[in-house]
Amino acid sequence: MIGPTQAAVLPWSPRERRRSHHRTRIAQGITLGILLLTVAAVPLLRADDSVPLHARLDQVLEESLLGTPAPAASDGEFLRRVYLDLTGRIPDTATTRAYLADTSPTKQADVIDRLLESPEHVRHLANVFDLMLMERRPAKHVTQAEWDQYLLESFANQKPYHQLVKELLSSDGTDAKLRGAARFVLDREVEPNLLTRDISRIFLGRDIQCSQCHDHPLIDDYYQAEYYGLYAFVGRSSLFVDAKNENKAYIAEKGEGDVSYKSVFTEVEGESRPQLLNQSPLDEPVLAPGDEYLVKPDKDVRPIPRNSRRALLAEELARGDHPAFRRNLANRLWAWMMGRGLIEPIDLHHAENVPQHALALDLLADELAERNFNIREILREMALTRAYQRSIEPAKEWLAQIEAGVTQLPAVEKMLADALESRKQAAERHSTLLSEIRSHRAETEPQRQVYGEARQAEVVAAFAAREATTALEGTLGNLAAREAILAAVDAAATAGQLAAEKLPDEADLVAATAQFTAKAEAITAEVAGLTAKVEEQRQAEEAAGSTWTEAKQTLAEAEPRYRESTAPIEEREGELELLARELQRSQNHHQVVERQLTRIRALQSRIEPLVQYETARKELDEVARQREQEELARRELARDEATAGSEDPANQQGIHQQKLAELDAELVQLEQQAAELEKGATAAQQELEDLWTQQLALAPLKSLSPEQLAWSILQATGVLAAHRQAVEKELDDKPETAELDAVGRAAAIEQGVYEKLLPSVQQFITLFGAGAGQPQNDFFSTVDQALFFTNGGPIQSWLKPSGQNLAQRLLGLEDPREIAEELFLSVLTRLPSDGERDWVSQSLAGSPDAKAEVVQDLAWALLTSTEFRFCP
Amino acid sequence: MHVPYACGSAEHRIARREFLGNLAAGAGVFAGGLGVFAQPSVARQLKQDQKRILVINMHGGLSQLESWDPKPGTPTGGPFRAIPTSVPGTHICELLPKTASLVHHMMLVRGVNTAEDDHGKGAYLMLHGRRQTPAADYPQIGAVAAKALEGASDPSLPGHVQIVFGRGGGRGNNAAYLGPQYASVSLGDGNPPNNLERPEAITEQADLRRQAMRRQANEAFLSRRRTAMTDAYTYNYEQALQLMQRRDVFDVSHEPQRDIDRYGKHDFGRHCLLARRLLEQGISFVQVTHSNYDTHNENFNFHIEQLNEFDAPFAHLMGDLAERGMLESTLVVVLSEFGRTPRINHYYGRDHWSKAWSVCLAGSGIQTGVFGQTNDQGTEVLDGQVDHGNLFHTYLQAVGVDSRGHFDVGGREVPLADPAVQPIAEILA
Repeated sequence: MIGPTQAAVLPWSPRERRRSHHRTRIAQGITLGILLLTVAAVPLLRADDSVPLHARLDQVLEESLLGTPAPAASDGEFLRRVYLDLTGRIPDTATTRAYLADTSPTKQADVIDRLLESPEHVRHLANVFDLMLMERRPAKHVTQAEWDQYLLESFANQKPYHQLVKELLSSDGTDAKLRGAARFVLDREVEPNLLTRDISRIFLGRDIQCSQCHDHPLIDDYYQAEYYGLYAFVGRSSLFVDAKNENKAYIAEKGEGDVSYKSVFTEVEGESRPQLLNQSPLDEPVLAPGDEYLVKPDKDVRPIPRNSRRALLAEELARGDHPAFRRNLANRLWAWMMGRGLIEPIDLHHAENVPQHALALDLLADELAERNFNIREILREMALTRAYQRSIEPAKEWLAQIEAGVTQLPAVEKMLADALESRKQAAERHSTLLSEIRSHRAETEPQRQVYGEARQAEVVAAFAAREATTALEGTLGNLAAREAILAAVDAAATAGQLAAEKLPDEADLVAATAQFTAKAEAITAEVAGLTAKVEEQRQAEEAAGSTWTEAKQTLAEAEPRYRESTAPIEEREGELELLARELQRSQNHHQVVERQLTRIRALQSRIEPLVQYETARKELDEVARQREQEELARRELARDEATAGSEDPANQQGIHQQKLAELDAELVQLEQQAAELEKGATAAQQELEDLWTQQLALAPLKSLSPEQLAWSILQATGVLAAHRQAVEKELDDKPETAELDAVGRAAAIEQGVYEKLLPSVQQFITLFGAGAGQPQNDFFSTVDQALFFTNGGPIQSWLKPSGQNLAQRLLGLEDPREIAEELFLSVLTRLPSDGERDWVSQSLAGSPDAKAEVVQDLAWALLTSTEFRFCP
Repeated sequence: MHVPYACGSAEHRIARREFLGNLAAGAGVFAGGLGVFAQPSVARQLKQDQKRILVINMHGGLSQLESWDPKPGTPTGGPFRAIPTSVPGTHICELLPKTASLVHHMMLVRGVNTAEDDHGKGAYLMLHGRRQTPAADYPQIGAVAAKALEGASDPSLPGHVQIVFGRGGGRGNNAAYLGPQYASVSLGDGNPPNNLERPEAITEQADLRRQAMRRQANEAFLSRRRTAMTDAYTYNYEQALQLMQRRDVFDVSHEPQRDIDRYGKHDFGRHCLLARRLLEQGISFVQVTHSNYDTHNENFNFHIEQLNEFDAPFAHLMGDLAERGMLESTLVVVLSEFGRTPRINHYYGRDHWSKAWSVCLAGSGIQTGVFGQTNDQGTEVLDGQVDHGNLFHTYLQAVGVDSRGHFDVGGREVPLADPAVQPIAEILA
């Protein structure tokens, strides 16, 4: 059986409890912790750049902790975790052995840095972002290869995230270099509603789908106007299939058109204008009618607008200063590394869905922006936090601390009431301002329209004036040219006449002269016409000029009026921003306290079954001890009797026997009682551990993604290594790859192995991946998966001994202890415990003739274990 | 020394468990509602009140005029007669003589108007209860039913089964946000789900040994940390073993020869019998397809052929369900993607028609009779007009599920059915 020393069902045996009973000190610690909460000047932390981000994160996270967080994970656990998170697979045995033997104090940071530089990391990042961006939608208009290539190149070159988003949204598919980037829009069929929903979910963390038909019924800050504001950016785009070019798909965009919408509930109407979240509509350049296109729409022609609204959205988001944009990425990266977002669900950010740690989220979001959205740097900092590196097992003393924390309840409740009051006041003012702004906007709508019309009129007048000038200049040029010709022809006619007078009999000459004269007359008439036209156009130009001047005048008058009318809005928006910040601060504070309170209350309600169980167990121990003493006494008596050979006049043996029987009966009863309580205690412990995990005091058990699972099995069974060898050999045989440098070679090997094993990985994706277009981060478990592991062909074949694979290596070892070690290092990234070594030995000894079967069974048992399926 | 009790230490607990023969990874320690599993015999006893749904999908578009809503003697009525049924005054088409004797179990909904004449879109809205939209995908009725009814169903069996032509075996992609665990398991002609057979190289003995090893390998780790996810994962392996033992559930050839003969040797007959078997074993949702009714040419000849194949097995299935007392807990739905035009085209065919057609319901939670009425020539609904959304709500209500309720999916509330639509109160029992 496995590890008798560690196999306690509950981690706090009475013995351990007794050892850590420093209740008073802990209670003081907690009081101090809570007080710290109320006064902590957290924003100051940000200013101090000398403290690395990971340390600041830990500080923020641990400040609100109730009790001691879980200790650090073991070396093996950390290594496995960081390999899975940064490269998508578990490490090989050699790496694990070397890491376990490494005594350097910086070995964690070293391995993180090494992995972040690896081609496997680039591949894994590409995979993580593929899942986030495309959610396993089938590749349709852009090939998977083009898309993969784009992501791989982007991450290999550390393209900043906001740059990536900009390319995803603005690429129209015509630029070969950005063909991959166009997949985000193209493989959503350029469908505006789908794009609106997914852009909001994936880049802003707001699933505003419901707001397509009405303001969100449950979420106060998801307005229909927000939906259509975002819709306006993509509503003019459409799929263009180029019939002349193998039906290749591109994105077309119109230069005009908006949609109006109406709530199905309130009948309130609106018109879509490009605006993000609930902010004011964006200023767009005004164009004269007819001037909207670079390429006008026509049959089989892909229209290109002068101003692309999709590009406008890309620009706007890529500025990176929208808090929602920053927080969404911070939260998604956090969810990837920590198994759970600071806001859950990760695409339902809104005012009432408070982050688990608002301060940590803000810190991360702001740092992301400050570091130019460099994902690698942020991942490095996350991996370096204590929060990331914790064990999956709680600290020994946590239970005692929770009990002590419960006594703080009234004080925290008072704090909450105060915080609530101040928050309420701020929230009221906030909502007043919001509604004032809304109504002011409605009031200023006429001025806005007048101003908008004036802008439009000015642009049109300017355009007309320029056209008039151009026309006049053209005519003047024409006139000058004609006049020059006239002069020449006139001169010729005059000279001809002179000659004809002198030579009147020369019919040719006379005729020519007549022709010259006639021509001169004709041109004279033309010049007169042109002169008249010049006059006309001069007047037109003047008129256009004065119209323009008037339009400018009108605009000059309308603009200040409009600005004036919006001044109250701006004023309020200013106040709103201040207040929002203030509210955010008070909200954060309130949340911290409230969470603390919720935690304490939750802990309080769940601790009861644990305490009961423990009491029962103590009683059981006590009675068991009594029985043991009784038995000892009886034996002593028997021995005495045997040696003394005396009789037992008082029938003391009988009394002992009876007492023993009574104690046995009591023990059976107590055992029964404890067994009943155990169920409740186990459930309570799981709930407590969940709470602990949510506040990042305990590492979560993360399930492996389909890709992580597949690659880890391929790694553990030795299939990966075999393919890697084959790929290396292929590369060595090819002369053109001899010139690759180390980085290029590593990338080429990674690519080769990836391509060879992709079909195997695909089977796992089919079974373990969620449906296309659905979020891919939720765990689910089906009987099909277990059947695949139990009876499926691939697993069986990978476990058969061959080459240098796991089963073959195990078969080659004689010492059962070595077999156990190789097995556990290969599959679970750790050394076996003593109990596990015994288990392996006994299993092998049990079937001496079937070593090959036993080692395969052992490997299968570890591959199907929860420890393999979930990352400890 | 004799110790007549276990002290409760880890060693003793494990020793005792091994002594008892490694019962299902420690019976009784499952938290979170999986306790049923510890007693397979109990799980196998079908709960009396367990509700189930059977959907028969008349693929291609069944003609309402040649089935549930005949209009004999009118310009649109076609050549067939209407025959009396077991309900005095209610007539159906003469192509369904055996079915006619069971109409007293049925509710004929004759006023269906779905306003969608495209096969794909029509099938989508009938099975999803909503119109397909580009921005959101919805789960099929089978997935919704499997999730809504899972509390009362046998946890070792899949909750959503679709019987298909060909081999089958895999999972469908029809559960949308509910997650693949509610997607359909496809069964092709008695072929069990994938990977249900133990590989030949592994004997039952060897399998028992490695399963014991697997459970042991879990012990130490689960003593450090157990979560709902690890419970679900370990549970799935035990569920897999049970399913392997019960693979006959999916094999129609285990039904009595008499029934096999009675239902007929053709695909649809076998599929109906398999559906009966699956429902009896406690599977919550079964869908059978009969194909193909897309009769743009020779509508009448094809309906003779198709409905002749349909009538007997369907009537046997209905009769058996009623006789075995299962109809009270099983909702039967005969639907299609749409009906067929009253107008008869040049090829003696009828085209796509969604404006006025019929759906037949029977069993759990549904009254019997006729609801809705079309005009003389079947070109319009006169009374009791309903659509796919009303029907979808009604299916759920009929099996005791509040169709206006919500699921909690990953922390967000999602409505079971279109919240803007109501069930058909008039036909609910």
